[in-house]
Amino acid sequence: MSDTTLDLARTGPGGADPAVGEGARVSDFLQLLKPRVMSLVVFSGIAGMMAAPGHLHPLLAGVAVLCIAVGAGAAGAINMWYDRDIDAIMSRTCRRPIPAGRVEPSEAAGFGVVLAIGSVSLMGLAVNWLAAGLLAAAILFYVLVYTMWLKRRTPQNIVIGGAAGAFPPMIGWAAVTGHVGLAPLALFLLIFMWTPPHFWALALFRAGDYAKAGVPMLPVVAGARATKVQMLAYTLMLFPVALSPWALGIAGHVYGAMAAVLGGLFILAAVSVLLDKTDRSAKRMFGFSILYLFLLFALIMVDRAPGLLGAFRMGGFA
Amino acid sequence: MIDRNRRARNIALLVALLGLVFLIYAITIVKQGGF
Repeated sequence: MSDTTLDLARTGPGGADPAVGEGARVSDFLQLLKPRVMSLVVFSGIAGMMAAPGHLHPLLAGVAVLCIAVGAGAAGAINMWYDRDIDAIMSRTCRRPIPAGRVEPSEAAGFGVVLAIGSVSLMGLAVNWLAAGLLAAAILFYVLVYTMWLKRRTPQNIVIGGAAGAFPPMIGWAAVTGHVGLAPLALFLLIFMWTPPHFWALALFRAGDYAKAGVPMLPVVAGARATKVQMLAYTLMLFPVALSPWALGIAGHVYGAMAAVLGGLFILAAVSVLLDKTDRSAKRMFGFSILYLFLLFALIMVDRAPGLLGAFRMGGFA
Repeated sequence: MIDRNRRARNIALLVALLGLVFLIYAITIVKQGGF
């Protein structure tokens, strides 16, 4: 990594040019919020809210979802500010607003911090302070523990850092009930155990990018085979964890059956990655991993939907 | 082009702030209703 590259990334292609960032579009700021990551975060947060026993006024439920979305986006913006040097080197991320020179790094950092404080405060004032505290913890964990501490230091970065992405269903649960327990912990563990095979599937076919940027992702440090073995181990551990919402009674039998089928398919995908010498299986597994989590949380929502509709009819939300 | 982008950013910020004001107003009414 040359100094020139670093300088370019730190200041943007415009260097000290005061015009850098002036031409930023609204869409550039929206891009800083990592909308694709945000969509899965929001989805799992809503699932946590729907799985939780109890009622929350629809407006307050909407505010809770908004706060989860904005909080996740804020963490993404701060991450893009901090990682602007490596983002400029990696082909997957070099077109992001900061390395592309469309947004000033300080503007992105300010944008992220203001949104983080705003989302946590609004969650606390409108919903409850436990949900706000968990949202703050998720943002701080993603920014301080994952982005600033682990990402550039250890190949276990996404294993530990993955906890940040596992918070949303717990936040949703806490927003409705005002407390946390075993059931939201099961939803937390589901995302926590899903993250390593999901992210390492991506890292396998982007290993060159990560190596170029000096990020010690597992395939870069330990090699493809060791990564594939660990991915299989995590999919095996994920299988019973994914069944736990059914065992704990927060999801029905349809969920239980589908979790078993999808879990089996996820394990098969990991075996296929292990046997495949090319990147094709890893790319397929990455795509399937997103579908896997999306379907599991969708099933939790579908299971709970009749009860929620009944609550609406009975005036439980009025 | 830069002016147009700046104007769009200002309008987006204004809309977001107005939305926040209305949201806080709505939350206050709901909270006063005992939720």
